[in-house]
Amino acid sequence: LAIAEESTELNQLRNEVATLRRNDQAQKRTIQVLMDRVEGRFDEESGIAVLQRSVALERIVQKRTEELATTNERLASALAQASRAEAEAASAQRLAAIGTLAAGVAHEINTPVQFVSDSLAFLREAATDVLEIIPAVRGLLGADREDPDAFSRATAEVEEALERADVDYLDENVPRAFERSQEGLERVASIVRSLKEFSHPGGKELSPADINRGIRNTVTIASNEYKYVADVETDLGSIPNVVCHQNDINQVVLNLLVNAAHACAAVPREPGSRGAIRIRTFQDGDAVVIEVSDDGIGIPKAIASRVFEPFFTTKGVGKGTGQGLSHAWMVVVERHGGALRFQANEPRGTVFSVSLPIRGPGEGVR
Amino acid sequence: MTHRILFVDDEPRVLDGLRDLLRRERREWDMQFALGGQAAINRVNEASFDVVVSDVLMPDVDGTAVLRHVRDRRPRASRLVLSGQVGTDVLCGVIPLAHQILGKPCDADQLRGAIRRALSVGADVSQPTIGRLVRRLDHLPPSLVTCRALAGVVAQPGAMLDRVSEIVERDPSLTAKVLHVVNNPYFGLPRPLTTVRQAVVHLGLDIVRSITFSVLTFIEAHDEVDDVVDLDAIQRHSVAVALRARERVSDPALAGEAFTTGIVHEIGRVILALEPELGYAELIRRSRSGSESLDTLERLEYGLTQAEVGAQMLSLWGFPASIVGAVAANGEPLEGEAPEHVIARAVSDAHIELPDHIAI
Repeated sequence: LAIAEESTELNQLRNEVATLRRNDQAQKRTIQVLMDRVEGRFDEESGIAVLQRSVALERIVQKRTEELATTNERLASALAQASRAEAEAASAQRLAAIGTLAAGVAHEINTPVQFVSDSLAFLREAATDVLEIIPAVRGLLGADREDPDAFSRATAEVEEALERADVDYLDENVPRAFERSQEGLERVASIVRSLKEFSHPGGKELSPADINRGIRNTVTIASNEYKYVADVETDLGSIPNVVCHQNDINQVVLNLLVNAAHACAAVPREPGSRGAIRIRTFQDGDAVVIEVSDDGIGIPKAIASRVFEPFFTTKGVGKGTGQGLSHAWMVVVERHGGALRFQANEPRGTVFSVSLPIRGPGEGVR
Repeated sequence: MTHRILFVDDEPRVLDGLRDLLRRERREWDMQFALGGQAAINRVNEASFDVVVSDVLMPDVDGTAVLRHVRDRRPRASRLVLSGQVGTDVLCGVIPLAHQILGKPCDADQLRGAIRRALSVGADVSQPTIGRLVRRLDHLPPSLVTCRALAGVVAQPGAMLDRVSEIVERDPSLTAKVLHVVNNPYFGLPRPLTTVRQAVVHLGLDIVRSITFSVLTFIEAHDEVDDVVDLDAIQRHSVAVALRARERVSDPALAGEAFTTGIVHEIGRVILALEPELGYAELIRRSRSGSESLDTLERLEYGLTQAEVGAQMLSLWGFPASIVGAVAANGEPLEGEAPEHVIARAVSDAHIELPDHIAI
């Protein structure tokens, strides 16, 4: 809702800016015409008449100029407001994406937490059971070997303790439980590490960044978004670091990956068969290209021209805000001076390619 | 007797963890583990289970499909969900199929407790049909009055929470279901919620709408039940009792609970009416023509009253002990000042003031 409201607000602002720009142009033209007329009459008429006329004209010009200044002020403030609103919309899009991601990451972390804590509870019980064998063993060690009754009683107690602890089960499963716990904790740690790198504070600055590493992190943290519908294959070439705002580029890759997953989910499939998503990077002259391709439902020709429009979406309510690709366009083309294209994949699916200048955005790009 | 329990997850480590965790139960529980939805469906086809505990998000055959299959193929099995965080749309699909929903991570005591409840509620009832009935219930039919009111409201996209709450809180079956859902461990509430209004605010309109839809689709059971007991009459009586009970409780913290208790205090009748095998219609006829009250006849025939049947189900559905206790008290005014005593007195006084709607 907030996003929809913002979009209306943004559109209103855009209209206002356009109107003001038109007024501004019109007034500039008026002034020009008046000036021309003043200059044009100079050589034909008497000095006084010209003076009188030009004083009158001067007043008009002055009035117009004042109006123009006010208009310009309004224009400047409207522009500032519009760019603020645009920045807010971009950050809302980031927040929406992070919200979805957070739920996915929570799910990813909950699974290992479940089996690690189950394993630890088991290991604690196992330790208690094993420790309970010790008194019986001590009893056996201290038993009088000359007294057959006492000795067999002590032996029986040890056997009973072993039975109670289910030692065979423990022997087989305790090492596995330790292994599982370690794996689970490593999994949690790697998700947390990726999440931290995905949007670390330094990533906001324009600086040389390892694009492949960013992609690997993104694939890790977004796994909940695709793992039930598709397999992701990465083919990351040897590419130089790219001067960019890394967090923004990560966000773009995330958007493309989530879109690919949604496209794969939209294809009716036989049980057991899954979609395929491929992420490839390579160098192309003085640019680095990131390609995200899928064998999903594809983009119908009829809407191909609209996919980068803000708020344009074909996804259901709650699935998409229609801002992923327009945000990607803003980041890649406007902020980095790169290119964002897509084409149909054969026989099915879509390839999106992001091309980024290795030396970063040139002059004149914000 | 060993109970058969099936655990379903697409992560082998989760299954291994559960096997180790519940190792001490191995003498009482025969535990089976299915890796993924398809394996689970195969197991369910091969043998019956008392309890199925399933994950939700799984590739290919997901938990919703597994639970639906269990419901259709093994209607006597309890269906438990053990899932990580899922989206609202997924949750809405699971809610109508699950008896209890647990969230990952879930500790050992919580999981054991949930499985024990699923196995044992109603097990001490001398009439085994009732025990089984209570354990496998997932919905109760609402009254026609409620259906009509909801049909006009729920389908509207802008349906107001207030309006929906107003309708739901007056219907015994819907009240029970909404509080059942919100009090699932999955939602991680520190203490059970006791009123529909709290529950609706907590769940949000999407989930409440999906619950009401699932209850409305249970309308096929309505006519069968309505042949035995008049659902509209039970609702009228329950609302009247609830309103009076609420006024009688001076502690504002308990007033809402008293209202809810009043609404569900005869839900046991709806449960008994669901199973023709129990012959509840005949029992009601005998109470009208003979000298013995319906309570007495229920106790003679089933070994427990409708109130106790209702209380069993409410306890399985995660209702707080105060409401369960007050419903079970069934007009026996309890001494004492504990919440369940205060509420039980208020409900029983209100119940006595009103005409006996069953006798008519």
